[in-house]
Amino acid sequence: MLTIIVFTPLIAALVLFFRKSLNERQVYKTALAGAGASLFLVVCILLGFDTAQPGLQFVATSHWVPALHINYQVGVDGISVWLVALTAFLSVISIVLSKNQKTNLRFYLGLLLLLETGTLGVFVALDTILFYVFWELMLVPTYFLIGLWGEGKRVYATLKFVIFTLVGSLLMLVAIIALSVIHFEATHELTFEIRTLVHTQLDPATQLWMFAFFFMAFAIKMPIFPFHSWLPHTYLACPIPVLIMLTGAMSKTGAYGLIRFCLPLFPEAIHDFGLPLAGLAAVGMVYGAWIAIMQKDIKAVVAYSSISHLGFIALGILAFNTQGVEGSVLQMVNHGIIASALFIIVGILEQRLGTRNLNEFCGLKKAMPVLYGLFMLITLAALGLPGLNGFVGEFLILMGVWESKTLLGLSVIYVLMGGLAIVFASIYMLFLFQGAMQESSNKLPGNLKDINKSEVFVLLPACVLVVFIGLYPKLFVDKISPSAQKVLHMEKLVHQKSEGGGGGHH
Amino acid sequence: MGTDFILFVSASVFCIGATGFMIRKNPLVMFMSVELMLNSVNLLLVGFSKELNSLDGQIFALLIMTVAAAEVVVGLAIILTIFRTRHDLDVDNINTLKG
Amino acid sequence: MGFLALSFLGAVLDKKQVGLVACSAVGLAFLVAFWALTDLMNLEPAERIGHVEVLYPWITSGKFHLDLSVLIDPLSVFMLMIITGVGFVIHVYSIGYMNDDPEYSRFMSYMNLFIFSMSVLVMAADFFFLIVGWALVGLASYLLIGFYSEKRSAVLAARKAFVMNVIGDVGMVVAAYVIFQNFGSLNYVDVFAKAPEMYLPNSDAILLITFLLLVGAFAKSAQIPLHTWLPDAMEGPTPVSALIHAATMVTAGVYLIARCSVLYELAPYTMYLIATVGGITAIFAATIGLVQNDIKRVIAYSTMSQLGYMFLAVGIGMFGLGMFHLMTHAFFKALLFLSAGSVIHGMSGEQDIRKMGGLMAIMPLTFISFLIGSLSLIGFPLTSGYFSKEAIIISAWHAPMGNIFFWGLAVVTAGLTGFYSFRIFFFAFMGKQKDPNAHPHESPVVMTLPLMILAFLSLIAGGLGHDVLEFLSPVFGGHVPPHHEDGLLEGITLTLGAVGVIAALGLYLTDEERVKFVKDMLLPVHEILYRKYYIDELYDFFLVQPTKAIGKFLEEKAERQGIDFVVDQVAEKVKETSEGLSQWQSGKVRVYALNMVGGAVMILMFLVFY
Repeated sequence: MLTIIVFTPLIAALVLFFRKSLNERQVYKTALAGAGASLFLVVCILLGFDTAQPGLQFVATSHWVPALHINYQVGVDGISVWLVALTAFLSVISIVLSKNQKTNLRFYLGLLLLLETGTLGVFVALDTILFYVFWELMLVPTYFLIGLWGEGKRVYATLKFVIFTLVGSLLMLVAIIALSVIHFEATHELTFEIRTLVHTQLDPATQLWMFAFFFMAFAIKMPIFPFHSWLPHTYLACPIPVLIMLTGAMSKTGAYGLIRFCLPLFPEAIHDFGLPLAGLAAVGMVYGAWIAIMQKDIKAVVAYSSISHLGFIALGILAFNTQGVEGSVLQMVNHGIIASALFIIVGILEQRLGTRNLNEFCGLKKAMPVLYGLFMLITLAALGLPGLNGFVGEFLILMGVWESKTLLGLSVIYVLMGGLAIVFASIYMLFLFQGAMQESSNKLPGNLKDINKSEVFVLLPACVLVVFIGLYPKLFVDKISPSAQKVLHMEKLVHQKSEGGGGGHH
Repeated sequence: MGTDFILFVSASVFCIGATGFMIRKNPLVMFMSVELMLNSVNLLLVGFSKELNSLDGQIFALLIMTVAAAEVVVGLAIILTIFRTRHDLDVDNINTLKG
Repeated sequence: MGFLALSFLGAVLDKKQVGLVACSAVGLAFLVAFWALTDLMNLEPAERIGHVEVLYPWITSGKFHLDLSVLIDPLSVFMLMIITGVGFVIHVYSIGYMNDDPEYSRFMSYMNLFIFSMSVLVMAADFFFLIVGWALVGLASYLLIGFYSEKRSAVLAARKAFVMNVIGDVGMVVAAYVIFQNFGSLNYVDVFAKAPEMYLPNSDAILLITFLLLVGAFAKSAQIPLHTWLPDAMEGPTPVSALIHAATMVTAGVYLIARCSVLYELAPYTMYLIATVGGITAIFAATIGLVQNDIKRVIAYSTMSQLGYMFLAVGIGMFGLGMFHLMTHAFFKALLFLSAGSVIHGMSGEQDIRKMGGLMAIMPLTFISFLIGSLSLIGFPLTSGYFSKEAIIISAWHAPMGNIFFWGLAVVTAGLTGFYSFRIFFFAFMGKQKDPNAHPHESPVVMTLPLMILAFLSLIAGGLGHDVLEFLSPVFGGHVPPHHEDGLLEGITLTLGAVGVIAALGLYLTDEERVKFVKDMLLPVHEILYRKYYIDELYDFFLVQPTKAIGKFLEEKAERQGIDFVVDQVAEKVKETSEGLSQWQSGKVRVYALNMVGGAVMILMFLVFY
């Protein structure tokens, strides 16, 4: 089932690459069918998902490279299932948005579908080598999509993005191989299965460097401050539909990797180094927000706000407890929805007015009342208004940080930094929203049209989800919960150990 | 004729070949220098074959000769093509592979 | 029971219909609240607290569990009555006031959103939904302040209000964490039951919690130092000012402290802080109100000042009195604002009192209601303000936690109140019309009818004092606060109030020249007051500018010249190195050959000599 989900877009992509005879309409329909079918199956999986079971479900295995015991193995648990759903959902949205892309639509959509396959693959892969293959598979289409269809300094941006990511992923490859080798030495059984490998006992020194390698890869992909420098360039150069995939789905692979690999494998390393690393996340949170306030380019505002929000997510994961991780997973979904909706709106504004400079926008409310309403809702969600989805995630994350044992000592400061980031978020989001939509202006072109049906269609699901998750998060959190607790099973062990050693002052 | 002498001749021929390869600019002459070096090694192989009473060296010598022949074919073809396109055979001027 | 109220209100949200629907919805909500009230009245006082209705489980994460539930107890029903009651009256008034506005229906839907959010706030059974309601009223307030979204000042004021409220929200969220960490629950019932057993008075945790909650309360109720948004919030339409920024939302801070009275009683230090800040805010706002010329701003400062009274009351432990003053204030301040709105409506949007005058004859109904509002505000005997304010001022001395300092603040403020409220009264209604171009007219009956209702309430609500205190007493530990009698103190207060009124009369009666003379004499003071003690400028200088500067620094130095630069430099260096290395690749065969031979010789040497 998962295999079909992952490879349906790939098949559609191959069809697009090799059938030159298709006209634009057929191309678009093929792509939509590919992504749509995948989304449909994901919904089926969501319905069939057993909430109570903490382990992996829908597992499928077959041999791939038998000589090295590398298997093709996929499956989902309560954490990845939401990310798979998010990716499939955003893919459909981004393909619908790409409808107006004129140059070489066939390859463009083909690459977009390839990107979807890669991202989905990362979320479902249960074999480290498979994980790595999908991880790199994401990179190829992104490279071409930004390099060929981007804008501004696109070549510079792409190169930066690819080199950054490659550095990280090569480090990860080293760690992946080393992990299997260590496991082999301990048990004389060569395997690349994540499920088996997570039980490998590592001595602290090994944990440390391996954790560093994995963390680098994920930190760059997310990105966590100060590895974020590719992000603003790339986001600014990126066409909006691709950007949705990039920020909505791909940036989550980093956070997902942290949860899937780092938490169960390196509990002691996190216990020892979680504090400074969480510091990085917290700094990134405030830093991104602070810079976002100063931006005049609306796309840059959203880009830097992404850095800030991803800082939140990283912080929640490093809090290393149930609330933190659950909040992070929920916030990943939230951010995927909110950031992509914001980028869609940015795209609409840019297309209508031909500029992204905030100073040129003014008083669009009159001309675009529908957009005004939707934009307002998304803005409120982005700045974490209680009752909408952003707040639930942020509340849980900061609660996790507050209670966190690994961050003991600095958790108060981190929470306050989170608070500062939230205050800043309200400032820059209001700058963005009010600056663009309110007040009055006579500079606007007279033929300004409100958003059309297909644009509403693209934005509406996001808006519905924003409200729904805000009002009834239990539905989502309940599925995440058992898996998160399973991932954290080492947590207690470590704490017990450290408390035993440190005299137990609780 | 002792093995020492064979060694000495072989080394001299190799050095002549190597020097020739380095100082001459005409690729054809350089080619002949390369052949000289190869043949010096052949001489060595045959000499040691006799010294050690083993046929291995002679077999290798034959192998090298075959390889050298094949190499000459390819090399001459390349030289010919270069001459046809550039009307110039000074190797110092053939530097399109410069980094 | 509570579910009904909530679902009624929830249903309203979607219906962006005209006034009738909106008003009837709020009216209905009022009836439901009234029904809840009668239900509660039928119970024994001790049984009245702690009715929690769970609607649905909201989230479970580890040991953190939350239900979406509502709490019905005397305090929440009391607040609900005020909110829906005053809300209903103001909704009716808005029909007239906003009649000409093209975005009439949007206005009504925002107003309904506000009533809904405020109900969530007061009916919440735990701190989490308190925060939800807290932020939602902030949102509604933001939307309504910025309602005239084409006016730049309105947009800026809305943003300021929102950001300040978010600061308060963050304080509340952190407070929720501390509460959860210490009590393992966010439910009022659990927390309030455990608190007295677990903690001694003034223990660290309690102080921290109460202080953090206070940040939220101060931000919402415009107490120093988080007060600057309230006067600016007057950019919104006048019914909004009446409903949100006078009668209901700004009193949420008082409600919060009253709701958490159990915690606050364990934290006398925080109580002193509340009382001090309340007293200072009261006198501070009153002094600024003395010199402002915008009719709505004066009333806004008066609201701040009255909120200061309420904080003073709860700060000295007189929770019931605080709530009582909250109620009377809701009536007479809404009345004042609506009358002011009526004046503004009649003057076609003019808000400067210097341009008004002689409205007494033209707008008799508005005149009477404004007069009643002002009298009640200054605590004229037998009006509602008299009962509630007088009680607070006397308690400020006589209550166990009161002292002469609090009393002094309160009583001086009373004098100032007399001055500023009658200053605007005389300016607007007495004398001759000053602007010959204005054509004032009395407002339509949809607007004057609410005025009369509120005027009536302002007059008689004082008599309910004892009933209110008794009704609320189960929430505040089951005892009715003792009633202090002190004729002397009362006399002093009344005298000072009267002096204030007479001073206003004197100012009004004297001629221009003498006013100018007095003004010149007091110029520095006048300037400071007129500029609101330069608080806005201070904030700008100490908060806004550094934030911008650091942001600029981060963007230019840290981002462009720091991280980006380092990254680019690494790339640059790699490029340079590879360019250097590529020099070796000369393309000359003979050089390659030389290198090869040289290399071979070196290897040989190595093998031979080692």
